[in-house]
Amino acid sequence: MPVLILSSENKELENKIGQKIAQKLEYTTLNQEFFSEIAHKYTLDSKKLMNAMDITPSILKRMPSKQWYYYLSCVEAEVLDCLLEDNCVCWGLAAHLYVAVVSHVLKVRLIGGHNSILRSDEPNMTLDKIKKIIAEQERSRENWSMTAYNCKEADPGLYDMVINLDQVQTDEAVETLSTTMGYPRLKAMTYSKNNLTDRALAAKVKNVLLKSLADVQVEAQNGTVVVTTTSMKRAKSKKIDTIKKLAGQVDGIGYLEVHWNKDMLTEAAMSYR
Amino acid sequence: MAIITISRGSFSMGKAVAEKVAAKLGYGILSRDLLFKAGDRFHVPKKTLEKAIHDAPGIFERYSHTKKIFIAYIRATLIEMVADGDIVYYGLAGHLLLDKLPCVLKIRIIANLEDRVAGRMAGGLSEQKARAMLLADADQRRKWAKKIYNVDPNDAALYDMVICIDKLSIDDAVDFICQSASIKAFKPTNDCIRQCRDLSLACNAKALLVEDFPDVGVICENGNLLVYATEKEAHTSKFKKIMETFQKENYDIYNLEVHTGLSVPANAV
Repeated sequence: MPVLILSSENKELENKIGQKIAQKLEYTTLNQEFFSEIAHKYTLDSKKLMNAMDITPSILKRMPSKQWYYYLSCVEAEVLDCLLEDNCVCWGLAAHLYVAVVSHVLKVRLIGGHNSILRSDEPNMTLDKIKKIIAEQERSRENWSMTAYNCKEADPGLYDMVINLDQVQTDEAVETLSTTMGYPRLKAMTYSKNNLTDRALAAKVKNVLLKSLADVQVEAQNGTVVVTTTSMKRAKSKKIDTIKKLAGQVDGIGYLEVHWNKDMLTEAAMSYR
Repeated sequence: MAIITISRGSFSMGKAVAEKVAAKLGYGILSRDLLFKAGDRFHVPKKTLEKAIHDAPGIFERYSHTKKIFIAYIRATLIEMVADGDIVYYGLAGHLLLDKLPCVLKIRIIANLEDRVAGRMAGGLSEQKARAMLLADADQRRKWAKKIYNVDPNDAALYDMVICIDKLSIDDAVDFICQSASIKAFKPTNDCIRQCRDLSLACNAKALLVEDFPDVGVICENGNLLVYATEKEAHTSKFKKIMETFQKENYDIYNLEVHTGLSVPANAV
Protein backbone atom coordinates (compact mmCIF):
# COMPACT_ATOMS: atom_id res chain seq x y z
CA MET A 1 0.00 0.00 0.00
CA PRO A 2 1.32 3.47 -0.82
CA VAL A 3 3.05 6.01 1.34
CA LEU A 4 2.74 9.76 0.72
CA ILE A 5 5.57 12.09 1.74
CA LEU A 6 4.85 15.82 1.73
CA SER A 7 7.39 18.61 1.86
CA SER A 8 6.77 22.35 2.01
CA GLU A 9 8.13 25.63 3.34
CA ASN A 10 4.57 26.53 4.30
CA LYS A 11 4.20 24.37 7.43
CA GLU A 12 0.62 25.41 8.07
CA LEU A 13 -0.58 24.32 4.63
CA GLU A 14 1.53 21.18 4.69
CA ASN A 15 -0.05 20.17 7.98
CA LYS A 16 -3.57 20.99 6.77
CA ILE A 17 -3.21 19.06 3.52
CA GLY A 18 -1.46 16.13 5.21
CA GLN A 19 -4.20 15.79 7.82
CA LYS A 20 -6.99 16.06 5.24
CA ILE A 21 -5.50 13.40 2.94
CA ALA A 22 -4.88 11.04 5.86
CA GLN A 23 -8.46 11.53 7.01
CA LYS A 24 -9.88 11.01 3.53
CA LEU A 25 -7.86 7.88 2.76
CA GLU A 26 -7.95 6.62 6.36
CA TYR A 27 -4.15 6.52 6.48
CA THR A 28 -2.00 6.97 9.55
CA THR A 29 -0.01 10.21 9.93
CA LEU A 30 3.64 10.67 10.76
CA ASN A 31 4.67 14.24 11.54
CA GLN A 32 6.55 16.47 14.00
CA GLU A 33 4.59 14.96 16.90
CA PHE A 34 6.75 11.89 16.36
CA PHE A 35 9.86 13.74 17.63
CA SER A 36 8.87 13.33 21.29
CA GLU A 37 8.47 9.57 20.77
CA ILE A 38 11.92 9.36 19.14
CA ALA A 39 13.46 11.48 21.90
CA HIS A 40 11.92 9.24 24.55
CA LYS A 41 13.12 6.04 22.84
CA TYR A 42 16.71 7.24 22.45
CA THR A 43 16.71 9.26 25.71
CA LEU A 44 17.45 12.51 23.91
CA ASP A 45 16.39 16.05 24.65
CA SER A 46 13.23 16.54 22.59
CA LYS A 47 13.87 20.27 22.01
CA LYS A 48 17.43 19.64 20.90
CA LEU A 49 16.26 16.90 18.54
CA MET A 50 13.73 19.23 16.89
CA ASN A 51 16.40 21.90 16.74
CA ALA A 52 18.75 19.52 14.91
CA MET A 53 16.18 19.27 12.12
CA ASP A 54 16.41 23.04 11.55
CA ILE A 55 20.00 24.08 12.16
CA THR A 56 23.36 23.03 10.76
CA PRO A 57 26.03 21.81 13.18
CA SER A 58 27.85 24.56 15.00
CA ILE A 59 29.69 24.75 18.30
CA LEU A 60 28.22 28.22 18.82
CA LYS A 61 24.72 26.75 18.58
CA ARG A 62 25.78 23.98 20.98
CA MET A 63 25.29 21.35 18.32
CA PRO A 64 28.57 19.62 17.47
CA SER A 65 28.75 17.80 14.16
CA LYS A 66 28.97 14.31 15.67
CA GLN A 67 25.89 14.86 17.85
CA TRP A 68 23.98 16.42 14.96
CA TYR A 69 24.56 13.46 12.66
CA TYR A 70 23.57 11.08 15.46
CA TYR A 71 20.31 12.98 16.04
CA LEU A 72 19.51 12.87 12.33
CA SER A 73 20.25 9.15 12.19
CA CYS A 74 17.82 8.55 15.10
CA VAL A 75 15.03 10.33 13.18
CA GLU A 76 15.90 8.55 9.93
CA ALA A 77 15.97 5.08 11.54
CA GLU A 78 12.67 5.55 13.34
CA VAL A 79 10.83 7.16 10.42
CA LEU A 80 11.94 4.46 7.96
CA ASP A 81 10.87 1.82 10.45
CA CYS A 82 7.41 3.38 10.66
CA LEU A 83 7.11 3.76 6.88
CA LEU A 84 7.43 -0.02 6.52
CA GLU A 85 3.89 -0.16 7.90
CA ASP A 86 2.42 1.36 4.65
CA ASN A 87 -0.77 3.42 4.28
CA CYS A 88 0.86 6.45 5.77
CA VAL A 89 1.06 10.20 5.12
CA CYS A 90 4.34 11.64 6.36
CA TRP A 91 5.50 15.28 6.61
CA GLY A 92 7.80 17.50 8.62
CA LEU A 93 10.41 14.78 9.20
CA ALA A 94 12.61 15.39 6.12
CA ALA A 95 11.70 11.90 4.85
CA HIS A 96 11.76 13.16 1.24
CA LEU A 97 15.54 13.51 1.59
CA TYR A 98 16.36 9.98 2.75
CA VAL A 99 13.60 7.91 1.13
CA ALA A 100 14.81 7.67 -2.44
CA VAL A 101 13.44 5.73 -5.41
CA VAL A 102 10.92 3.48 -3.67
CA SER A 103 8.13 2.84 -6.14
CA HIS A 104 5.24 2.82 -3.65
CA VAL A 105 6.33 6.08 -2.01
CA LEU A 106 4.97 9.23 -3.65
CA LYS A 107 6.98 12.34 -2.83
CA VAL A 108 5.17 15.64 -3.30
CA ARG A 109 6.46 19.18 -2.81
CA LEU A 110 3.93 21.92 -2.05
CA ILE A 111 5.00 25.44 -2.96
CA GLY A 112 3.29 28.85 -2.91
CA GLY A 113 0.01 29.33 -1.09
CA HIS A 114 1.31 32.45 0.66
CA ASN A 115 -2.08 34.13 0.26
CA SER A 116 -3.51 31.82 2.90
CA ILE A 117 -0.93 33.13 5.41
CA LEU A 118 -1.91 36.65 4.43
CA ARG A 119 -5.48 35.94 5.37
CA SER A 120 -4.80 34.09 8.58
CA ASP A 121 -1.76 35.89 10.06
CA GLU A 122 -1.13 39.37 11.39
CA PRO A 123 -3.05 42.15 9.61
CA ASN A 124 0.06 44.28 8.90
CA MET A 125 1.77 41.44 7.03
CA THR A 126 2.11 42.07 3.29
CA LEU A 127 2.63 39.48 0.55
CA ASP A 128 6.09 40.88 -0.16
CA LYS A 129 7.09 40.54 3.48
CA ILE A 130 5.87 36.94 3.55
CA LYS A 131 7.73 36.15 0.34
CA LYS A 132 10.94 37.58 1.83
CA ILE A 133 10.54 35.50 4.99
CA ILE A 134 9.83 32.35 2.94
CA ALA A 135 12.85 33.04 0.70
CA GLU A 136 15.03 33.37 3.81
CA GLN A 137 13.61 30.11 5.19
CA GLU A 138 14.25 28.41 1.84
CA ARG A 139 17.89 29.52 1.88
CA SER A 140 18.38 28.18 5.38
CA ARG A 141 16.63 24.90 4.49
CA GLU A 142 18.79 24.54 1.39
CA ASN A 143 21.87 24.98 3.55
CA TRP A 144 20.54 22.38 6.00
CA SER A 145 19.63 19.80 3.34
CA MET A 146 22.98 20.23 1.56
CA THR A 147 24.87 19.63 4.81
CA ALA A 148 22.69 16.72 5.93
CA TYR A 149 21.94 14.84 2.70
CA ASN A 150 23.92 16.64 -0.01
CA CYS A 151 20.84 17.68 -1.99
CA LYS A 152 18.79 20.84 -2.39
CA GLU A 153 15.38 20.52 -0.80
CA ALA A 154 13.74 22.81 -3.37
CA ASP A 155 15.09 20.85 -6.36
CA PRO A 156 11.99 19.57 -8.26
CA GLY A 157 14.01 16.54 -9.39
CA LEU A 158 13.79 15.16 -5.84
CA TYR A 159 10.03 14.80 -6.05
CA ASP A 160 7.49 12.91 -8.13
CA MET A 161 5.28 15.97 -8.25
CA VAL A 162 5.39 19.63 -7.30
CA ILE A 163 2.11 21.49 -6.78
CA ASN A 164 1.95 25.27 -6.72
CA LEU A 165 -0.78 26.32 -4.30
CA ASP A 166 -1.01 29.90 -5.56
CA GLN A 167 -3.85 28.96 -7.93
CA VAL A 168 -4.77 25.48 -6.73
CA GLN A 169 -6.91 25.46 -3.57
CA THR A 170 -5.99 23.15 -0.69
CA ASP A 171 -9.16 21.08 -1.14
CA GLU A 172 -8.40 20.63 -4.83
CA ALA A 173 -4.85 19.56 -3.99
CA VAL A 174 -6.22 17.09 -1.43
CA GLU A 175 -8.65 15.69 -4.01
CA THR A 176 -5.97 15.36 -6.69
CA LEU A 177 -3.43 13.74 -4.39
CA SER A 178 -6.01 11.35 -2.94
CA THR A 179 -6.89 10.21 -6.47
CA THR A 180 -3.21 9.89 -7.37
CA MET A 181 -2.60 7.66 -4.35
CA GLY A 182 -5.05 5.19 -5.88
CA TYR A 183 -2.98 4.72 -9.05
CA PRO A 184 -2.04 1.04 -9.48
CA ARG A 185 1.58 2.05 -10.11
CA LEU A 186 1.85 3.17 -6.49
CA LYS A 187 0.77 -0.17 -4.99
CA ALA A 188 3.48 -1.76 -2.84
CA MET A 189 5.25 -4.70 -4.47
CA THR A 190 7.72 -7.20 -3.02
CA TYR A 191 10.61 -5.40 -4.73
CA SER A 192 9.67 -1.94 -3.47
CA LYS A 193 8.99 -3.29 0.03
CA ASN A 194 12.41 -4.99 0.08
CA ASN A 195 13.95 -1.74 -1.10
CA LEU A 196 12.42 0.16 1.80
CA THR A 197 13.33 -2.63 4.27
CA ASP A 198 16.96 -2.40 3.11
CA ARG A 199 16.96 1.36 3.64
CA ALA A 200 15.48 0.94 7.11
CA LEU A 201 18.13 -1.66 7.95
CA ALA A 202 20.95 0.60 6.70
CA ALA A 203 19.54 3.50 8.75
CA LYS A 204 19.44 1.32 11.92
CA VAL A 205 23.05 0.19 11.44
CA LYS A 206 24.15 3.77 10.77
CA ASN A 207 22.38 4.93 13.92
CA VAL A 208 24.09 2.30 16.07
CA LEU A 209 27.51 3.17 14.59
CA LEU A 210 27.12 6.95 14.82
CA LYS A 211 26.52 6.71 18.56
CA SER A 212 30.25 6.20 19.11
CA LEU A 213 31.91 6.53 15.69
CA ALA A 214 32.08 9.16 12.97
CA ASP A 215 32.63 9.05 9.23
CA VAL A 216 30.61 5.96 8.31
CA GLN A 217 28.44 5.38 5.24
CA VAL A 218 26.06 2.45 5.24
CA GLU A 219 24.27 0.72 2.38
CA ALA A 220 22.13 -2.40 2.41
CA GLN A 221 20.86 -4.73 -0.27
CA ASN A 222 18.83 -7.87 0.36
CA GLY A 223 20.03 -8.00 3.97
CA THR A 224 23.71 -7.57 3.06
CA VAL A 225 25.06 -4.48 4.80
CA VAL A 226 28.11 -2.65 3.49
CA VAL A 227 29.76 -0.14 5.82
CA THR A 228 32.36 2.21 4.33
CA THR A 229 34.64 4.03 6.71
CA THR A 230 37.82 6.09 6.71
CA SER A 231 40.58 6.13 9.30
CA MET A 232 44.33 6.18 9.72
CA LYS A 233 46.10 2.94 8.84
CA ARG A 234 47.16 2.25 12.41
CA ALA A 235 43.54 2.42 13.60
CA LYS A 236 42.22 0.22 10.78
CA SER A 237 41.78 -3.11 12.57
CA LYS A 238 40.45 -1.47 15.71
CA LYS A 239 37.82 0.48 13.78
CA ILE A 240 36.76 -2.51 11.68
CA ASP A 241 36.40 -4.66 14.81
CA THR A 242 34.34 -1.96 16.54
CA ILE A 243 32.06 -1.62 13.50
CA LYS A 244 31.55 -5.39 13.33
CA LYS A 245 30.84 -5.57 17.03
CA LEU A 246 28.37 -2.68 17.05
CA ALA A 247 26.61 -3.57 13.81
CA GLY A 248 26.25 -7.16 15.02
CA GLN A 249 23.73 -5.91 17.60
CA VAL A 250 21.25 -4.97 14.88
CA ASP A 251 18.66 -7.60 13.95
CA GLY A 252 18.07 -8.49 10.31
CA ILE A 253 21.64 -8.33 8.97
CA GLY A 254 22.37 -11.28 6.67
CA TYR A 255 25.98 -10.47 5.93
CA LEU A 256 28.19 -7.57 6.99
CA GLU A 257 31.00 -6.15 4.89
CA VAL A 258 33.29 -3.34 6.04
CA HIS A 259 35.12 -1.32 3.40
CA TRP A 260 37.99 0.71 4.75
CA ASN A 261 39.61 3.78 3.13
CA LYS A 262 42.83 5.40 4.23
CA ASP A 263 42.44 8.89 5.69
CA MET A 264 45.09 10.48 3.47
CA LEU A 265 44.84 13.94 4.95
CA THR A 266 45.38 12.90 8.58
CA GLU A 267 48.11 10.44 7.53
CA ALA A 268 49.91 13.24 5.69
CA ALA A 269 49.54 15.62 8.61
CA MET A 270 50.82 12.99 11.08
CA SER A 271 53.83 12.04 8.94
CA TYR A 272 54.77 15.72 8.71
CA ARG A 273 54.84 15.92 12.52
CA MET B 1 -11.51 27.60 -23.10
CA ALA B 2 -8.70 26.24 -20.94
CA ILE B 3 -5.13 26.82 -22.07
CA ILE B 4 -2.49 24.31 -21.02
CA THR B 5 1.23 24.93 -21.52
CA ILE B 6 3.59 21.99 -21.17
CA SER B 7 7.23 22.85 -20.65
CA ARG B 8 9.81 20.09 -20.96
CA GLY B 9 13.41 19.27 -21.60
CA SER B 10 14.41 17.31 -24.71
CA PHE B 11 13.33 13.65 -24.51
CA SER B 12 11.40 14.18 -21.28
CA MET B 13 8.23 12.63 -22.77
CA GLY B 14 6.54 16.04 -22.73
CA LYS B 15 5.41 15.69 -26.35
CA ALA B 16 3.76 12.34 -25.69
CA VAL B 17 2.04 13.76 -22.61
CA ALA B 18 0.83 16.85 -24.53
CA GLU B 19 -0.57 14.76 -27.39
CA LYS B 20 -2.41 12.43 -25.03
CA VAL B 21 -3.81 15.32 -22.95
CA ALA B 22 -5.06 17.06 -26.11
CA ALA B 23 -6.64 13.83 -27.39
CA LYS B 24 -8.30 13.08 -24.03
CA LEU B 25 -9.73 16.58 -23.57
CA GLY B 26 -10.53 17.08 -27.26
CA TYR B 27 -8.29 20.18 -27.37
CA GLY B 28 -6.17 21.50 -30.20
CA ILE B 29 -2.41 21.10 -30.02
CA LEU B 30 0.27 23.61 -30.87
CA SER B 31 4.05 23.50 -30.92
CA ARG B 32 6.47 24.44 -33.72
CA ASP B 33 3.56 25.37 -36.04
CA LEU B 34 3.59 28.60 -34.12
CA LEU B 35 6.96 29.50 -35.64
CA PHE B 36 5.68 28.84 -39.20
CA LYS B 37 2.69 31.06 -38.58
CA ALA B 38 4.76 33.83 -36.95
CA GLY B 39 7.30 33.57 -39.80
CA ASP B 40 4.57 33.93 -42.45
CA ARG B 41 2.93 36.82 -40.66
CA PHE B 42 6.06 38.87 -40.03
CA HIS B 43 8.12 37.63 -42.99
CA VAL B 44 10.92 36.11 -40.92
CA PRO B 45 12.45 32.64 -41.65
CA LYS B 46 11.33 29.93 -39.24
CA LYS B 47 14.94 29.03 -38.41
CA THR B 48 15.64 32.59 -37.26
CA LEU B 49 12.60 32.55 -34.99
CA GLU B 50 13.54 29.12 -33.66
CA LYS B 51 17.00 30.38 -32.81
CA ALA B 52 15.54 33.49 -31.18
CA ILE B 53 13.35 31.47 -28.84
CA HIS B 54 15.90 28.77 -28.02
CA ASP B 55 19.46 30.10 -28.02
CA ALA B 56 20.77 32.56 -25.46
CA PRO B 57 21.53 35.99 -26.98
CA GLY B 58 25.09 36.44 -28.20
CA ILE B 59 27.20 39.52 -27.51
CA PHE B 60 26.02 41.45 -30.61
CA GLU B 61 22.36 40.47 -30.21
CA ARG B 62 22.36 42.10 -26.78
CA TYR B 63 22.80 45.46 -28.42
CA SER B 64 20.80 44.99 -31.64
CA HIS B 65 17.53 43.98 -29.90
CA THR B 66 16.95 41.22 -32.50
CA LYS B 67 15.82 38.72 -29.87
CA LYS B 68 13.38 41.24 -28.42
CA ILE B 69 11.89 41.82 -31.88
CA PHE B 70 11.50 38.14 -32.76
CA ILE B 71 10.12 37.26 -29.34
CA ALA B 72 7.51 40.03 -29.70
CA TYR B 73 6.49 38.50 -33.07
CA ILE B 74 6.25 34.99 -31.59
CA ARG B 75 4.33 36.19 -28.57
CA ALA B 76 1.79 38.17 -30.60
CA THR B 77 1.18 35.14 -32.83
CA LEU B 78 0.97 32.72 -29.90
CA ILE B 79 -1.60 34.78 -28.04
CA GLU B 80 -3.75 35.05 -31.15
CA MET B 81 -3.54 31.31 -31.69
CA VAL B 82 -4.45 30.37 -28.11
CA ALA B 83 -7.00 33.14 -27.55
CA ASP B 84 -9.92 30.85 -28.40
CA GLY B 85 -8.77 28.41 -25.73
CA ASP B 86 -9.11 24.63 -25.54
CA ILE B 87 -5.52 24.24 -26.60
CA VAL B 88 -2.35 22.52 -25.40
CA TYR B 89 0.88 24.36 -26.24
CA TYR B 90 4.02 22.30 -25.76
CA GLY B 91 6.52 24.43 -27.64
CA LEU B 92 9.29 26.50 -26.15
CA ALA B 93 8.76 29.07 -23.38
CA GLY B 94 4.94 28.84 -23.27
CA HIS B 95 4.85 29.48 -19.53
CA LEU B 96 6.91 32.67 -19.99
CA LEU B 97 5.24 34.00 -23.14
CA LEU B 98 1.79 33.54 -21.57
CA ASP B 99 2.79 34.56 -18.05
CA LYS B 100 0.46 37.57 -18.02
CA LEU B 101 -2.60 35.48 -18.79
CA PRO B 102 -4.68 34.06 -15.93
CA CYS B 103 -6.39 30.66 -16.21
CA VAL B 104 -3.38 29.12 -17.93
CA LEU B 105 -2.42 25.74 -16.49
CA LYS B 106 1.37 25.70 -16.58
CA ILE B 107 2.88 22.23 -16.39
CA ARG B 108 6.53 21.21 -16.36
CA ILE B 109 7.44 17.63 -17.25
CA ILE B 110 10.78 16.35 -16.03
CA ALA B 111 12.40 12.95 -16.42
CA ASN B 112 15.39 11.03 -15.21
CA LEU B 113 18.53 12.07 -17.15
CA GLU B 114 19.49 8.43 -17.81
CA ASP B 115 16.11 7.72 -19.46
CA ARG B 116 16.48 10.88 -21.55
CA VAL B 117 19.96 9.84 -22.64
CA ALA B 118 18.58 6.43 -23.63
CA GLY B 119 15.83 8.16 -25.62
CA ARG B 120 18.37 10.35 -27.42
CA MET B 121 20.58 7.32 -28.15
CA ALA B 122 17.69 5.66 -29.98
CA GLY B 123 18.49 8.14 -32.77
CA GLY B 124 21.84 6.37 -33.29
CA LEU B 125 24.06 8.57 -31.12
CA SER B 126 26.71 7.35 -28.70
CA GLU B 127 25.92 7.69 -24.98
CA GLN B 128 28.57 10.36 -24.50
CA LYS B 129 27.33 12.43 -27.43
CA ALA B 130 23.68 12.03 -26.43
CA ARG B 131 24.40 13.14 -22.86
CA ALA B 132 26.49 16.10 -24.05
CA MET B 133 23.73 17.20 -26.47
CA LEU B 134 21.03 17.03 -23.80
CA LEU B 135 23.11 18.97 -21.30
CA ALA B 136 24.08 21.60 -23.90
CA ASP B 137 20.43 21.99 -24.90
CA ALA B 138 19.33 22.42 -21.27
CA ASP B 139 22.13 24.93 -20.75
CA GLN B 140 21.02 27.02 -23.74
CA ARG B 141 17.43 27.07 -22.49
CA ARG B 142 18.55 28.03 -19.00
CA LYS B 143 20.71 30.88 -20.34
CA TRP B 144 17.91 32.05 -22.64
CA ALA B 145 15.39 32.24 -19.77
CA LYS B 146 17.95 33.93 -17.53
CA LYS B 147 18.91 36.56 -20.12
CA ILE B 148 15.44 37.33 -21.50
CA TYR B 149 13.18 36.88 -18.45
CA ASN B 150 15.72 36.71 -15.60
CA VAL B 151 14.30 33.42 -14.34
CA ASP B 152 15.60 29.87 -13.97
CA PRO B 153 13.43 27.46 -16.02
CA ASN B 154 14.04 24.77 -13.37
CA ASP B 155 12.41 26.89 -10.67
CA ALA B 156 9.20 25.07 -9.74
CA ALA B 157 7.54 28.36 -8.73
CA LEU B 158 7.15 29.24 -12.44
CA TYR B 159 4.67 26.41 -12.93
CA ASP B 160 1.41 25.25 -11.42
CA MET B 161 2.61 21.67 -11.39
CA VAL B 162 5.81 19.80 -12.02
CA ILE B 163 5.47 16.10 -12.81
CA CYS B 164 8.36 13.67 -12.92
CA ILE B 165 7.96 10.88 -15.48
CA ASP B 166 9.72 8.11 -13.66
CA LYS B 167 7.61 6.63 -10.92
CA LEU B 168 4.54 8.17 -12.56
CA SER B 169 3.92 6.98 -16.11
CA ILE B 170 2.88 9.09 -19.11
CA ASP B 171 -0.73 7.96 -18.61
CA ASP B 172 -0.65 8.89 -14.93
CA ALA B 173 0.66 12.35 -15.84
CA VAL B 174 -2.08 12.70 -18.47
CA ASP B 175 -4.79 11.77 -15.94
CA PHE B 176 -3.29 14.18 -13.46
CA ILE B 177 -3.19 17.10 -15.94
CA CYS B 178 -6.73 16.43 -17.20
CA GLN B 179 -7.98 16.38 -13.63
CA SER B 180 -6.14 19.64 -12.86
CA ALA B 181 -7.54 21.32 -15.98
CA SER B 182 -11.01 20.97 -14.50
CA ILE B 183 -9.99 22.87 -11.34
CA LYS B 184 -11.90 26.13 -10.84
CA ALA B 185 -8.77 28.32 -11.03
CA PHE B 186 -8.08 27.20 -14.60
CA LYS B 187 -11.64 27.45 -15.88
CA PRO B 188 -12.01 30.55 -18.05
CA THR B 189 -14.21 33.32 -16.74
CA ASN B 190 -15.48 36.37 -18.64
CA ASP B 191 -12.72 38.37 -17.00
CA CYS B 192 -10.15 35.90 -18.26
CA ILE B 193 -11.49 36.09 -21.84
CA ARG B 194 -11.35 39.89 -21.68
CA GLN B 195 -7.77 39.83 -20.37
CA CYS B 196 -6.80 37.47 -23.17
CA ARG B 197 -8.29 39.86 -25.76
CA ASP B 198 -6.53 42.82 -24.12
CA LEU B 199 -3.19 41.03 -24.05
CA SER B 200 -3.57 40.06 -27.68
CA LEU B 201 -4.12 43.74 -28.61
CA ALA B 202 -1.14 44.87 -26.53
CA CYS B 203 1.13 42.20 -28.02
CA ASN B 204 0.06 43.03 -31.58
CA ALA B 205 0.76 46.73 -31.00
CA LYS B 206 4.13 45.90 -29.50
CA ALA B 207 4.97 43.62 -32.46
CA LEU B 208 4.32 46.48 -34.86
CA LEU B 209 6.38 48.98 -32.87
CA VAL B 210 9.24 46.84 -31.61
CA GLU B 211 11.43 46.92 -34.73
CA ASP B 212 11.75 50.73 -34.72
CA PHE B 213 11.03 51.40 -31.05
CA PRO B 214 12.34 48.40 -29.06
CA ASP B 215 11.93 49.99 -25.62
CA VAL B 216 8.26 50.90 -26.00
CA GLY B 217 5.90 49.36 -23.43
CA VAL B 218 2.23 48.57 -24.11
CA ILE B 219 -0.65 47.85 -21.76
CA CYS B 220 -4.27 47.17 -22.68
CA GLU B 221 -7.07 47.31 -20.15
CA ASN B 222 -10.72 46.85 -21.18
CA GLY B 223 -9.85 47.84 -24.75
CA ASN B 224 -7.96 50.98 -23.65
CA LEU B 225 -4.49 50.85 -25.14
CA LEU B 226 -1.73 52.66 -23.24
CA VAL B 227 1.60 53.05 -25.00
CA TYR B 228 4.66 54.13 -23.01
CA ALA B 229 7.34 55.78 -25.13
CA THR B 230 9.94 58.51 -24.85
CA GLU B 231 9.08 62.05 -25.94
CA LYS B 232 11.43 61.73 -28.92
CA GLU B 233 9.88 58.43 -30.09
CA ALA B 234 6.26 59.52 -29.74
CA HIS B 235 6.70 62.58 -31.92
CA THR B 236 8.18 60.81 -34.93
CA SER B 237 5.88 60.51 -37.94
CA LYS B 238 6.61 56.77 -38.17
CA PHE B 239 5.32 56.19 -34.64
CA LYS B 240 2.17 58.19 -35.30
CA LYS B 241 1.55 56.39 -38.58
CA ILE B 242 1.92 52.92 -37.01
CA MET B 243 -0.46 53.84 -34.20
CA GLU B 244 -3.07 55.35 -36.56
CA THR B 245 -3.02 52.29 -38.82
CA PHE B 246 -3.23 49.95 -35.84
CA GLN B 247 -6.22 51.80 -34.42
CA LYS B 248 -7.99 51.77 -37.76
CA GLU B 249 -7.42 48.03 -38.24
CA ASN B 250 -8.55 47.08 -34.72
CA TYR B 251 -12.12 48.11 -34.05
CA ASP B 252 -12.02 46.69 -30.51
CA ILE B 253 -9.65 49.47 -29.35
CA TYR B 254 -11.82 51.74 -27.28
CA ASN B 255 -9.23 54.43 -26.59
CA LEU B 256 -5.55 54.92 -27.42
CA GLU B 257 -3.24 56.94 -25.19
CA VAL B 258 0.46 57.57 -25.63
CA HIS B 259 2.34 58.36 -22.40
CA THR B 260 5.71 60.00 -22.60
CA GLY B 261 8.29 60.72 -19.95
CA LEU B 262 7.02 57.91 -17.71
CA SER B 263 8.87 54.70 -16.86
CA VAL B 264 7.39 51.59 -18.46
CA PRO B 265 5.22 49.71 -15.87
CA ALA B 266 6.27 46.20 -14.89
CA ASN B 267 3.10 44.63 -16.32
CA ALA B 268 3.61 46.16 -19.78
CA VAL B 269 4.55 43.95 -22.76
